[in-house]
Amino acid sequence: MMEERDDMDAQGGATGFEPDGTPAGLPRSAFARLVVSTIRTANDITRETVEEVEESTRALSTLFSQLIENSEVQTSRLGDLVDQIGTIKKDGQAVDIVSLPHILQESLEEITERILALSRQGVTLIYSLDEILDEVSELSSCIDEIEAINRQTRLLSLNAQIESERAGGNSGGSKVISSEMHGLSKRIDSLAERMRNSIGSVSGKINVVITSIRDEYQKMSDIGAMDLTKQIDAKDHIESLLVALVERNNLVTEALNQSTAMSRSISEDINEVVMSMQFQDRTKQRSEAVVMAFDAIAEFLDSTPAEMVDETACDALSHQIIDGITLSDVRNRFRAELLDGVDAPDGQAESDDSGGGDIELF
Amino acid sequence: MEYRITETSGRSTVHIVGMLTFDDFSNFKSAIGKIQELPAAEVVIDLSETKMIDSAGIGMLFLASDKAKAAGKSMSIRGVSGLVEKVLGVAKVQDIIPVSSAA
Repeated sequence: MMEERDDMDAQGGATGFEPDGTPAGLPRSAFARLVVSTIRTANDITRETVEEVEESTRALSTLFSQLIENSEVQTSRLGDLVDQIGTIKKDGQAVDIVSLPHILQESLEEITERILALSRQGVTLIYSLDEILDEVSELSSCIDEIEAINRQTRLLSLNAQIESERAGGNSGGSKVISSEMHGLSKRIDSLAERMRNSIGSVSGKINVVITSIRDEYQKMSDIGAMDLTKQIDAKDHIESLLVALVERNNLVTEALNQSTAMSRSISEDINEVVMSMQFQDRTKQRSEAVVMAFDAIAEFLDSTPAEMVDETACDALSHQIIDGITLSDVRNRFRAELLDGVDAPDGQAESDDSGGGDIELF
Repeated sequence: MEYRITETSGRSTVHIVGMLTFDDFSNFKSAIGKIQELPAAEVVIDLSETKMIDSAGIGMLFLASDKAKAAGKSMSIRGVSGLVEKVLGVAKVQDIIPVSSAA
């Protein structure tokens, strides 16, 4: 074996090539095996790393996408909350909370106005009834005077009759007059009686009405309905409530707006992270290019070591490597290194992805 | 409620002292009667010594205003303060009868 190798070495030293065609002096089988093993092992590790990175970053991208989605949902909900927090539903209509105290105040004012209207009417009524009673009282006085006059008239009539009897003679006419006056007096008495009864009845009824109104006023006074200080207190409470509600509304709206802005900011940051993490695709393609190049070289060394010195074969290998690269900038760099800057065939653009078949997507 | 009347040239002032509530109606009615008889064309109801007024009291003020107008006189209210001023404000008396606060 050693003699064969020595013979071969001797022969190679003479022609420059080994019997199998490999250039003389090159590291042959052992070195080639070592290089190939190293390259392939490195490629395997690199490939596994790339896969792992790709998997992890894909998972992270998915996670971030979910975060963005959730953040956008939160932003939307916060927006709805800002809209809802200031309103309530009443009879199917949206009512601004800030307007509630105004509504209460209007109701309170309406009640107060009605109380005052009733008070004014009641007071006016009692005043008028009192005036009527005063007139009725005056009427009663008039009747008293009529009765007094009537009594005097009856007395005069009686006197006239007595004088007539005493005088004798032509007393027939006097008797008649006296009798008529007596009858008239009785009628006046009867009329006065009727008027007095009527006045008494009217007075009685008016007094019943007045007493009834006074009783109602007393009841209202007892329950404090007449006292407007409660309305004043309620008005003050409502005004304080209004101020507090407006302030609360402003604070809550401010807080929610800040939260919404923060959510939006988070979404933007996450979006940016997702965009920047798309480097993984680029890294993958770069790594794949390197792996593919090493694979090609390893395959070449392994399968056709004799062609190492064949320029045409090496050129073909270079093109094979270049055509297999998907990333245009990596492909251009390999082209620049392997082909010394020669342009792509048929004037293809540097960004053309016809060699790899995959589109560069980041 | 008590009342007293002071007169200056062209103006009569009715000072209401104490509380003006429904229980004071008879007394106030007497004051209204006096208002109608006053020679001055201008009547001022002074409430600076009035401690409290309820809804019936407000009604009585409106009644006094109506009677003054019927007698060809103008009527206003002055000297309101504190609780009385608040009550008149809630009742919006100023919409019907001129009201001025205590100086």
